Amino acid sequence: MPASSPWSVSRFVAHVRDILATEPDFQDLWLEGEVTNYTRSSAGHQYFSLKDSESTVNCVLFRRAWRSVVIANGDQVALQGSVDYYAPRGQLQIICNVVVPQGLGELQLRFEALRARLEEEGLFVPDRKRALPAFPRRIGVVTSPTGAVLQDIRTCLERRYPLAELILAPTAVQGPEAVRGVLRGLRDLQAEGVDVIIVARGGGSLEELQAFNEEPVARAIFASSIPVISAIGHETDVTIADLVADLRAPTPTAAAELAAPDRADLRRRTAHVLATAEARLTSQLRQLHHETGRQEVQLRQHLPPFHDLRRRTDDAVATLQRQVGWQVEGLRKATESQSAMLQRLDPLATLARGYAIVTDTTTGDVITTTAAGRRARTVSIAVQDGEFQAGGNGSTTPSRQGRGGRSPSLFQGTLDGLDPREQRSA
Amino acid sequence: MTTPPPGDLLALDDAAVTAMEFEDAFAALQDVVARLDAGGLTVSQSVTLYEVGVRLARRCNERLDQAELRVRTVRDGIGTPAMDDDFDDDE
Repeated sequence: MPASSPWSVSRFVAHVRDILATEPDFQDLWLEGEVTNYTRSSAGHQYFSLKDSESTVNCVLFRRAWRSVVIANGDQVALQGSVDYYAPRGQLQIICNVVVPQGLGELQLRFEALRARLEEEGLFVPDRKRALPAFPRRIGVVTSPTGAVLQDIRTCLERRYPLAELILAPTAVQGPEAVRGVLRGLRDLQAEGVDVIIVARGGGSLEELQAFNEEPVARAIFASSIPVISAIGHETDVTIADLVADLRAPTPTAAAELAAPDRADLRRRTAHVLATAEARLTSQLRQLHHETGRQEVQLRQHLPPFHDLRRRTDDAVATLQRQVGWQVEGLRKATESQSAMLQRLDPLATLARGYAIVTDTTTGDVITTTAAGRRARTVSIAVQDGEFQAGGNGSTTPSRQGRGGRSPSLFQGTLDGLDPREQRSA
Repeated sequence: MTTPPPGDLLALDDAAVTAMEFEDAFAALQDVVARLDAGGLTVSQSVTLYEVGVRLARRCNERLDQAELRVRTVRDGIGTPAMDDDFDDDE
């Protein structure tokens, strides 16, 4: 031993950890063995030992590593992890990333390891899944140009949403060119500025699906500026690409259905929105109608009462009618009395009382003086029922009572001279 | 959804609507409802707006009925001649 002073334990442990950390094999270590001394802490971490016929090594699977793994004592498992020295207890231990049942192939182990690593990195978190556009104008598809997958997608879009343009990024979907082809397709479709990308391939073995379990593909999907829908393999096959994609579809047809709306549904929605517009308009008109009615009521309250005005008008009219009626009646009575008076003044009425009117037959003048009577050769004497003629020339004796009188002495002459022509009714 | 001034929508005559893609016509139709919802319009504006809505709805259905899926291959800069004879693209 050199004469230098002894190391502290901590210095020694730190040195051991340094050496372990610089050993490349220890950072991505694969071990197989049987589980023993299994315990699970209240925090959810799982502690166990892995042993074979001769040796044992302590292992820990932290809760954040991979929640879905279920292990028990006696299980034959394969695990992937890194070597660590746990200083407080002085123990060498394996910090596991993945523990899987022994017997899975290398691809499966790699799959589980990548899955665990990317999950821890946050590539699968639901929060980062992006919403798909409601009405994609251009739908990019990364898949084989031959085969049923493209045909299924195309048929589905033709039926549901032919408004879109389907832009194919053709690629091999298995074999050595597949990864490069998928990466190129994703890049080209982003350069095109499509609205959504579908990455699809049909079912196959784990080997055939391997391109979609490669880290570069996973990271390219994660980094895509455009939402990605995956439809890889059968529904039961889950690939890393499926886990990273914004949306996973069970089949290519389902991917197309998720990528675009259904036009039958859009017709219904259009009709619904229009119906809503109509309802709003109707509602506004009804509101205005109601408001108008309300204003009308208010207006009426502010106006003089019509019914009162009407009553007063009716009264005035009635009064007027009465007054006019009286006047008419008065006029009527006045007219009657006038006509009675006229009747009294009628000379014929006088004749009826026995007076007569004597006229000079020659001149037609009414004889009102004795002188005139003397002048007349003949006179016509009008009485109630007619006229007769008589001789004149002073043959009469004037008499005061003779005026209008009916004394036969007033007329001297023959009654034979009565001219029937002159008869008149009273 | 933003509510555009009524003028924009009221100005959508037949020619303007006929030139619209489905999604634009559908969005405008939704705007019509939003605008009617917001209120503050004259009866005449509301009626005109509704008529624009009818026009837009007709255009939506027209597009849905007439459209035919267009298909083409992405313009890839690297030049991979990957096309198969079975695939008829419209490019």
